Amino acid sequence: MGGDIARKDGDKWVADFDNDKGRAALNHLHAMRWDDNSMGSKQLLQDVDVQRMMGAGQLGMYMAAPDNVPVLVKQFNGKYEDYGIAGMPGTQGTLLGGEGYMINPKASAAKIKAGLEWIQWKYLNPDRFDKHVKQYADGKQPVGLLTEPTPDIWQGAVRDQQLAVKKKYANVPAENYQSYVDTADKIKGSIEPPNAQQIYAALDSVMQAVLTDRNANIDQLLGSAQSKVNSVLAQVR
Amino acid sequence: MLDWPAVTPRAGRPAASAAERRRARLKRRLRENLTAYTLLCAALVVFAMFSWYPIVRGVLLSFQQVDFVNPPTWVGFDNFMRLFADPLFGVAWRNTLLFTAFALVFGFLVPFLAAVLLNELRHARAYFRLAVYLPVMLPPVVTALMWKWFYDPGPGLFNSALNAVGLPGLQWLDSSTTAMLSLVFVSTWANMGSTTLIYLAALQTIPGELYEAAELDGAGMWRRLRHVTFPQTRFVLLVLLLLQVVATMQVFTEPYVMTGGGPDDSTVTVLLLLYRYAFVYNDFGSASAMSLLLFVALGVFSAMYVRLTRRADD
Repeated sequence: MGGDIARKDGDKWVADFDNDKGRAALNHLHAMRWDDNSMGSKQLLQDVDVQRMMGAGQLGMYMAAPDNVPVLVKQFNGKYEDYGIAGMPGTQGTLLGGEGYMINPKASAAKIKAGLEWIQWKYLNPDRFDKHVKQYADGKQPVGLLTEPTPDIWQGAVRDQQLAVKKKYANVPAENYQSYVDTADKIKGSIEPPNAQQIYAALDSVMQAVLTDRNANIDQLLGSAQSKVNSVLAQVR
Repeated sequence: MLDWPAVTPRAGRPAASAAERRRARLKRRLRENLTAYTLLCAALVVFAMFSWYPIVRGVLLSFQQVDFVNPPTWVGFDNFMRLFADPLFGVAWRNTLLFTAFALVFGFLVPFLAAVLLNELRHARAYFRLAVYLPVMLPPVVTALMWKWFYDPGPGLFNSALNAVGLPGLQWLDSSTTAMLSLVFVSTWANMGSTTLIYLAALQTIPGELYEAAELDGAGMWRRLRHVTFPQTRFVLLVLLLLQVVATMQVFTEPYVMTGGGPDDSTVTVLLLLYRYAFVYNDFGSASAMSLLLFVALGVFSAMYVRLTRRADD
C-alpha cells in the first residue's frame, strides 16, 4: 500500500508504520476477515500450511514469492498449469529478494578472487545461458518459472538473450506469469530493515490480533508495535 | 658385647609386607573392577562432552557476542540487557508461568483422578490402563498436529461436535483468550499416561486395612480420599508436582507446532522466544543468556526436588 516498515533517520533506523498507510492496511485486513470473510476463520497459518491448502485446492490466492510454485507442484501434488502469478496490486512496493554466494571469510585474498571468478563464470555468464537452461530442460526440471523480485543485473541485449533462451526451452505455462512480469519493472523494490525477523515477529502479532479479534483496537496495536519495533531498531549493533 | 643393628631385619619385614599387601590389594581391586572403571570412564566422557561442556559453553556464550565465523567477543551483561529491553521477554515469562499454572491444575488433577478411578475398577483394568497410557507413545509433533486439526475452527473435530449438538464453535487456537488453555489440554492429554501410572502405583501401596478401618468408622468416599489416600501418597504427589513444574516450564513443542506463539503473542513461551533468538534472529549470545536465566529458575525447583528426595531417603 506504499508504506514502509522502517526508515533511516540520519544514522539510525526508526519504525514508520504508525500512520495513515499502516492504519489503512490493517483496516483493509480487518474488513477482509470480519466483513466479507475472504480471509476465512482459520488463522495462524504458516507458509507450509497455505502451500498445503493451495496444493489441495482449498485456497484461491495467497501472497508469496514466485518460487512457491515449484513447491506446490513437487511437495503438494499441484499442477503447473493450475497456477498463475500476478504482481502486487497498485504496484506501490514489494520486498526484494536475491541470491547469496558464500565464501569462507578466512580464505586468502587469492582464493576469494578465484572464488568470485568461478561464481561469475558458473552463474553469471551469458555464454552459458543456453547450456545451463538446456541442461535443466533435459533433466525434466521446470523451465520458464520466475525468480523472486530481484534487481536483475542483466539489462539490454543480454537480458533479451536470457529471456529468449528461457522462452525457447520453457516447459511450464509461462503465460500464466505474464501479469507478474509486466508489473516487475514498474514496482518499487524495498530491502529489509535491520533485525528484520524481530520486526516481523512484532508485526505478526499485530496482524494476528486484527485477524482473530473483531474488536481489535488498530490505533493501539499500531502504537504499541511501533514502540516495540523502535526498541528492536535501537539495538542494532 | 653384641653390636645390634639399629633396625632389625625382623622389624622392617612386617612394614614392607604391609605396603606390599596394600599394593597387591589395590592391584586386585583394579583388576576386578577394570570393566566397571572402563564403563565409568566412557560414561564420564560422554557426560562431559554432551552435558557438562555444553552447559559451561552456554554460560560463556551468554556473556559473548558470537557469529561462529569471527572469534567471540566479551560483551559483559549486554545480552541480558537486550533481553530485558525486549517487550516479549516479560510476555514470554508471563505466558510460561500461566501455562505452568494451568498445566499443574489439569496435569495434576486429571491424572490423579484417573488413577483413583483406575484403582477402583474391578474389570477391564489392563484395557483402561493401556488406553490412558497410549497417548504417551505418540511422537509429540504428531500429537500436536493431530490436535491442530481437532481445533480447526472450520471442519475441525471439536467444532463439528459442538455444531452437531447445536452449539456454536469456538475459535480455540485462533483466539488469544483460549489459545493457551487449548495448548494445556494437548499437553495434559499427551503426558497424563506416565503420571497416572505413577499415581496408580502409589495408590496400590496403600494398605487395604486403612480403607477398611476408615469404612468401619463410617468414612465416605471423600473422607477416605482426604484422610487416607492423600496423606499416604503425599510424597509422590509432591515429587511429581515439582517434576511437572520443571517439565512444563520448558514447554516448546505445542506452541512451536500449533500456534507459532500467536495469536497476538499469547502463546510465546520462554523456550519459544529462546528458539527465535537462536535460530531466527541468529543471536546465540542472547539465546544463551535466556537459557541461563531459565536454568537458574529451574535450578530452584530442582534443588527443592533433590532436598525432598534426600529427606525421604534419610
